[in-house]
Amino acid sequence: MKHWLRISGILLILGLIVEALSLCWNTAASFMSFMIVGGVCFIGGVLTYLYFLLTQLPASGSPMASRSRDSRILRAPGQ
Amino acid sequence: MVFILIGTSIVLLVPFLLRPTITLSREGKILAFVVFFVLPLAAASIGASEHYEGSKQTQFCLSCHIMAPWGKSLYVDDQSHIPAAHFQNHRIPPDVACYTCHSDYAMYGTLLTKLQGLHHVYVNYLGTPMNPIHLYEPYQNAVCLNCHLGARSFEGDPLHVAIMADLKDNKLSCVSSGCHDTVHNVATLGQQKFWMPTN
Repeated sequence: MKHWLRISGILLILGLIVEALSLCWNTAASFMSFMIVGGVCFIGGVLTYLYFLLTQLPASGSPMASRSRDSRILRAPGQ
Repeated sequence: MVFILIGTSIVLLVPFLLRPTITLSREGKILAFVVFFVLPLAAASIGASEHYEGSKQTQFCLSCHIMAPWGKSLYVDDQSHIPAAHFQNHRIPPDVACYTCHSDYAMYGTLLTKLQGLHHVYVNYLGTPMNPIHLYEPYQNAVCLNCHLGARSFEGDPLHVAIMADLKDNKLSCVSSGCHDTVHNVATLGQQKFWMPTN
């Protein structure tokens, strides 16, 4: 699943570079490149990162998930 | 400010690309959230804000080739041309000249103007611009009155006083009733002399 993080990072870096370049000019073309190219890269990058986060969550019923449930029970006050 | 944020974001993203295993630790996860979510979102928001402010500039409006004649009409050397007289005498801020006279000053006016601006950009690049170019709706007196109402030179004119109610109700247009009707006459630009700013 590490490749999702890499894809997200590459998209975000592309989006940031497009944003930086678009801010060097004050024209309708630079605004459109910011909105369309930058916007697609940003949204794609953030959504890919959020997907990566979801894949990192322990699946319910897995030993890791039950361990975290147990730890919550152990930490509960009065237990 | 925004360039520092963009640079910082890129510099912090690179280590995660080279070693994604950083995210295995708790600290790495928190840092990744900041670097992959918070910083890019902040950079994009500030960038959008900068573009938003920049889109008010006269330079921005005239960056579309199709608007060049309208930009040129601001330099006509004839004070009966209303936009030229306003622009050349700084009755409106010259750096935001288009926006000052073509924005709606009513509630949500800025938002509506921006939406129309987005439509202009879309049509210019992806659609077919109207030919000839014209306003979507008749020019609103409210734009003129936003500055002129209350001004001594405007309200001291007996003619203005006589028709004030109609002007306020937009029943009689400032620019199309034979009073101040020389606006952006782009068709006659070839016969005009032009003012050349000294600097």
